[in-house]
Amino acid sequence: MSSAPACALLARSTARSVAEGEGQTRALRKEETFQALRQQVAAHHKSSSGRPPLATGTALDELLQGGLPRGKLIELFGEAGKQALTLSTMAHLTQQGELLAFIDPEDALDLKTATHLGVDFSRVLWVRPRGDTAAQRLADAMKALDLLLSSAGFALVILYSASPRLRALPARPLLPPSAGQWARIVQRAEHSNTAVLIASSQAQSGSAAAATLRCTAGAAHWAPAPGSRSLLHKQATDIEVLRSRLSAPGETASVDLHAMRAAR
Amino acid sequence: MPPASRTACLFSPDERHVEALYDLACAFSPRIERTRDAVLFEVGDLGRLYASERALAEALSVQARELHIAVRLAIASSKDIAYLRAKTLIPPADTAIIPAGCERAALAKLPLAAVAVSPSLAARATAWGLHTLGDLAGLPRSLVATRLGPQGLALHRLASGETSTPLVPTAPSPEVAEELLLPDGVEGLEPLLFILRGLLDRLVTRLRARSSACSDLELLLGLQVASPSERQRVYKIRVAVPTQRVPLLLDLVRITVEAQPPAGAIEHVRLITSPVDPRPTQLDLFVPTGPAPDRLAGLLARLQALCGQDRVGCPVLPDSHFPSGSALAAFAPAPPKALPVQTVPSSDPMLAARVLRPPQVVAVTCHPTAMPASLRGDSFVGTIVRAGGPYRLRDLERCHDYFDAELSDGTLLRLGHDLHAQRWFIDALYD
Repeated sequence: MSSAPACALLARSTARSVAEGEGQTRALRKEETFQALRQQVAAHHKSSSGRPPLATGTALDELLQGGLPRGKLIELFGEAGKQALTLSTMAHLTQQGELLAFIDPEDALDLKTATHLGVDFSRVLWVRPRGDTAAQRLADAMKALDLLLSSAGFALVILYSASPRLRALPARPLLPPSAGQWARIVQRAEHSNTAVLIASSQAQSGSAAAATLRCTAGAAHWAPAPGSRSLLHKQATDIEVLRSRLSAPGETASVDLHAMRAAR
Repeated sequence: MPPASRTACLFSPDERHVEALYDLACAFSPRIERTRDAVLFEVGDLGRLYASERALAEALSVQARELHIAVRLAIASSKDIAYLRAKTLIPPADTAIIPAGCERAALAKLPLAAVAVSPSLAARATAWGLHTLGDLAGLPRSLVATRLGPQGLALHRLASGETSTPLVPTAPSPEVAEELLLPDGVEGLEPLLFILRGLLDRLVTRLRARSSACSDLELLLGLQVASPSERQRVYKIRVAVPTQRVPLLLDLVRITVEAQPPAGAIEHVRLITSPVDPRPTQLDLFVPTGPAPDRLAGLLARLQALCGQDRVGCPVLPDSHFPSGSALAAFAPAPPKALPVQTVPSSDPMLAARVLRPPQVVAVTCHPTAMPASLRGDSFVGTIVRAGGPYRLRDLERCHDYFDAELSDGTLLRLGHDLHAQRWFIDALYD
């Protein structure tokens, strides 16, 4: 055999083996990529099937063993801090792509603070029942809650009903106190795997709630401002777990709520 | 080798059903010709989908039964033969399949009267003792052409099964409508919904055959009332996402009609929609899934019926420095653009307020320093133990001073002073 054909044969053989090697490498890489994707998807769905609680990015996470449990009802009541905790929770969840519904029978959502905290409004359904009386609005709010829980897809439904009144006025129940109605809400929440947060000035849902937390207002701090004036700087709020099926009751957390300065 | 040309004809004696038959044919062929009482379409290339033409005819009959239409069906080599055979079928026979090459035999027994010919030609044929197409086909063609002219020649070709008139495709109707006359009148919502359920079933079946979905609906109710201006009630039903789900559409119709019930007995119901392409939904492996678009549309309609059109939606912050404004946009969440961030950094909780819309007007007494000292209103009475501010917000129309105030019972609120109107109001409660 002459050397030229032998070289050509060798070159062809080398080229073929190089091409085969590249093909194998590509196939290997592709298989590795698919394997990684499979593992990622499996891990994601494993954690989803375990129904991890909805992390709120607030002190609630610590008090509720990781966040708002899916398919459960959590009640938050008291004098101060409810709105702040609710808006922080909304900001945290909407930034993660979750869909929320906010039922607001008093049409009192603080949009400016919500924007400042980073709530993605495009992922929030704002429902404002319309009625001549507070009782009618609250009844419609309960119906809206029922409808929202019938439609799976929302991670969290919030019913916020803290009547704007002074504590000096006689207290009266804010939400319809029917135990059967609450039991129905809990059943719907479990079925739709949706977390429900009830915020009101008084505890209403009784034993239907998986956890009941009370917010107590602490002292307000005032900061001096230019000139002779002063401005509200912050308010301390204590959150206490009154009763819970998720953790031991009695745990407390303190939060300092700072005033927004953007508009001042 | 191209498939042999074969044409199917769906004939209905009731001309009102032709549009529905056209939609039905859309599921089988893109080339459809609509006539006054029939639709004709090519089926020669459906051999891979149906084992035989008999199976194809059975599938067409099943679809027609779903629409509750008594249809006569014929499949032949040309549209004229298929139409003629379908038209002359005598119940209970409702299907005729004429194999290629057997057209003459299949048409031989049909009377000449079945074919639309001029009276003079019909009279002359009768005088010659010609009663059926078979009689005519038995004559020499040259003789027929000489004696009866071009019309006779065309008739002879048809009788011999030798016509080859091309199909002239017709565009689909831009609207799909279903209607029902109720001579005895119907009163009440439940009976009406029962009727509408049937109409929607038919409507959606037709849309499915066209591979379309239902967009906004229009419901026309003819009413038995004295006033001519109120004899027709029109309801516009908005369908947020094109859908083929009858229960959802029925729910939307119910919500709309319940809001404005008809003022009399109903004698005519008509539903109209414009077919649109179904909107596919691309799901993601990782991002949270929201409600299905059609279910979300139903939910929004129910919430709007409960709370009002302008009370359900997506919050929007108005472009204003004033803190209590609000606006609403349609709720149509787009899927998240990127993978969710595993750990979103938590922001410091911020003092938030419950905004009073509208603000509550109060009477305020002030210290000599112009700071508020006490307030009195319908729901609010108290002494102000500490107040901060003011900070002023103004635009072209308004000029307000705002104070943060703490009442003697510990309540924190935001107090506003309208400098133009010289009135005080509580704008928000810190909560």
